[in-house]
Amino acid sequence: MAAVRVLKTVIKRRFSSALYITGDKAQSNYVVLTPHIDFDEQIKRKDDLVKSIKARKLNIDLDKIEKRWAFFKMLDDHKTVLEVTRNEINVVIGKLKQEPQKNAADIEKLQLHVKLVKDDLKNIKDYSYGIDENANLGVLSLPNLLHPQTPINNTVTCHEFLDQPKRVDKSHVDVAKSLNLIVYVNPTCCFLKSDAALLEFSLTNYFQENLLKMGFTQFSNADFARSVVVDGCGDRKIFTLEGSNDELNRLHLVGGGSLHSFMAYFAKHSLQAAALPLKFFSLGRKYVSGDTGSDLFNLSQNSVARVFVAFEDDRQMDETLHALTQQIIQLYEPLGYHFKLVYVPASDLEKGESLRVSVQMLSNFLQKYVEVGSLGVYDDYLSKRLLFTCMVNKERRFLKIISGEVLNVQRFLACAIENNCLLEKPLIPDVLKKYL
Amino acid sequence: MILGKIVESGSHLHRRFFHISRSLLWNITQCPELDTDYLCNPHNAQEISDNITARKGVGDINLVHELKQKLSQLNTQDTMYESTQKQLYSELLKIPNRTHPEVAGYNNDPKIVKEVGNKPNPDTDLKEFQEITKRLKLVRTDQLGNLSGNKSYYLLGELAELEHALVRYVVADLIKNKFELISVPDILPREVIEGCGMNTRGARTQVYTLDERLHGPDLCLSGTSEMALAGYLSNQTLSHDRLPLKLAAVSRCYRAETSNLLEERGIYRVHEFTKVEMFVVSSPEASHDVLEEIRQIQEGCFGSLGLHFKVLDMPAHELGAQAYRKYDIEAWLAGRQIYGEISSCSNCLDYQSRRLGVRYSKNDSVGFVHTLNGTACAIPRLLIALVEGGQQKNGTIAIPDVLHKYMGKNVIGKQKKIPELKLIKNKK
Repeated sequence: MAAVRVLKTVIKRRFSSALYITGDKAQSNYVVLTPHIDFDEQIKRKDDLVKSIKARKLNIDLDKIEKRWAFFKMLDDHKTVLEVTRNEINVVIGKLKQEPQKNAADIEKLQLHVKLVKDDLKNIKDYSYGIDENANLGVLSLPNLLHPQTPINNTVTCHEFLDQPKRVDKSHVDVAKSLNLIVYVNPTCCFLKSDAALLEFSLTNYFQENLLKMGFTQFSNADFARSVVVDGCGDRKIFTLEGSNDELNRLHLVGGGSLHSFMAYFAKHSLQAAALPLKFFSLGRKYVSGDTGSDLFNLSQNSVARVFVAFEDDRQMDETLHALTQQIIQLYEPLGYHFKLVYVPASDLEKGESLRVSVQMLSNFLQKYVEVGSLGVYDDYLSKRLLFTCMVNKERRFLKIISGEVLNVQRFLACAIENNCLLEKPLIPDVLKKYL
Repeated sequence: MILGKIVESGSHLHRRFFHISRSLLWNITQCPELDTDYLCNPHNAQEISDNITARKGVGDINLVHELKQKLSQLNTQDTMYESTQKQLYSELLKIPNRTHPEVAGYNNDPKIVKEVGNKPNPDTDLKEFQEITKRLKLVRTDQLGNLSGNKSYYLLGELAELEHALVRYVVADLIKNKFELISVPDILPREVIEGCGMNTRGARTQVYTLDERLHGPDLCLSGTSEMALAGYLSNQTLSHDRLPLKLAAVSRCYRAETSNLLEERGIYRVHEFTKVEMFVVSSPEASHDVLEEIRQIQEGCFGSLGLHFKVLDMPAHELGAQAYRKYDIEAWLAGRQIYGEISSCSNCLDYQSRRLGVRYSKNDSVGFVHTLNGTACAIPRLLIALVEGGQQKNGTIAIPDVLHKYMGKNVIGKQKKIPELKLIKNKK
């Protein structure tokens, strides 16, 4: 017990998350959901976890998390032992009390014992909240494992269309301003005008019609998400609204084209396996805070198309990913711009992604490829954190998710403007004319 | 001038600097050129006071005159001069727009300008939007408060397609009517929103603000793209021959307002929705005709969707501070058997242009433009009208003819691809 007391003072409650709320905080905060945490299973693949952390260049000390977890489990076991002991003693006392005179001495002894056990339990409970939170949030801070196809160092190209456009010496911002296509104020504020606005309109209409043809079902999502969803998706570049006093349950502006808006829909819900696979998409805004820079690659507000696919069977993973990748190619090639599809290296992945296929166009001013669309493989990482399940033979299974922003209009527009610069092509290709 | 302001602000220096620099980026004028000849003329006091009363608006014209009087007696070097001037401005900004003389003559009720389409016979079998959409799995509103916020909703499957089709149809119609499409930001500085006549502070504000500690002060969510479009034009002087300048935008609108009224249940009044907006800048002499033109576009659009609706010329107390005249369109909601407002259009004269510094030039003279705005399509209520009005005996919903080509179908049925969800109960 002495060791426990020392640790109590050492472990400070540094973390705070809307995703994991311990009993003490639960008295003043509504616990929306409790994520599924299976560290004992996860740590069986310790080598893969270490590889993932290292390849992503994350500053996470897995050994420390493991130790904290072991200590939390030990404490939890100890708590269980004390609870059982307390209950057992109470039963014995109950029996002895049937002949109180005869057993007076024993009863007194046992009552003293039960009091000591209760005090111990209370002590443990008081400080175990911090240990509980530390251990569980440590586990929740771990990234997804890596998909075998994720490259460790460099991007790997898996598809390329048309030749690279030649280098230009004017950025899309300069060209767009001179052609009166945009009014750029700052990253939170940019107006698209004339053909730029019409490109946004026709391109989203084009994606909508074709995604429907490909068998996707359209969603029009909510733009706000609560902290629990934001923490569940593991992203902090988010706008937070004023006026939500409850620190663990705030309201954030994420946009209907965000992953958050889909996860808010499915979090804490289960569905019948017969409904699978899910193939949904949404068109809408995506808001990201804290972007700096003065071009269309770093705006706080983007218009995007997002696909959201969920299935149960592991074996469907590669097949689904392949089919989605082919569909992206089918969507992009008719637009007539140079692009390539790459697997991004581990260090560029989001924590929840095990693999990301990135659609990239060339900024021929920056001489750099820019992501205009993507597909992220999340496996069951998100569904365990936010409880999204299905029942198979009365058994709960966590759904596998592949989701991505298959189109980011503003980034596409920026590259299209630079690519067109030397060719003097119209910004809106013929294929989009009928979508105006 | 600006530097002087920063130095004076003392302990709020950092905050003020941020404040000013953000406004400068937006070209928001710090001292709008209000119509003081009219507002500060004592001969107009009664008229202005009567107007405020009729509009049930805020503002105190007597206080304005007192302050004006006080200011005229002070020397510009006086320590009180600047604070008095500031107070005078603040009071002047509260005075609402004038009211169209015809409207001023109405009592408390709107005047019905016209009715379009026929009101269907009462039919007790007609269901309400929530019931229809729940049965056909077209909308989800339940169990979302703790995940995507109070009163949030998701449009699903063919209803999301219908939303998209409406936006496409309406925008195509506006382009035909020579509107220029502009894509606008939804996060705006506070001054832009206040320049449009909206209050952004206090418990009853309709405006969401971003967390100041995380994102800096004075960033708000736009309630309508009218605000972004007005801000976009701020401090511009347009050549007279460019007028009327007709702009259209599709945006998400965010409103903190809420309602517990029974007739506003479901998605009738929500915190977030998509809207196509018209915004027109006109010369002062043309603005009355432009308002009629906007109204005709609205009537044509809603008529083509097969809706039955009334066009109302709204009485003074229904006008926002910025509007000189406002028409509302109320469509028949067949399921709830009431009329519901689906659209409006307003002439704001020079109320917004003075606050935001939007001018026109003609030959050698410069004047303030008139601004007008109108809803081309506000999604949730239009969906209610179309779904309740389109319900058929077999339980499906008929889609208006003009939208067939955008949807590739003519009815909406049950959404088989939308899974039934079951809530997972907490266990620990």
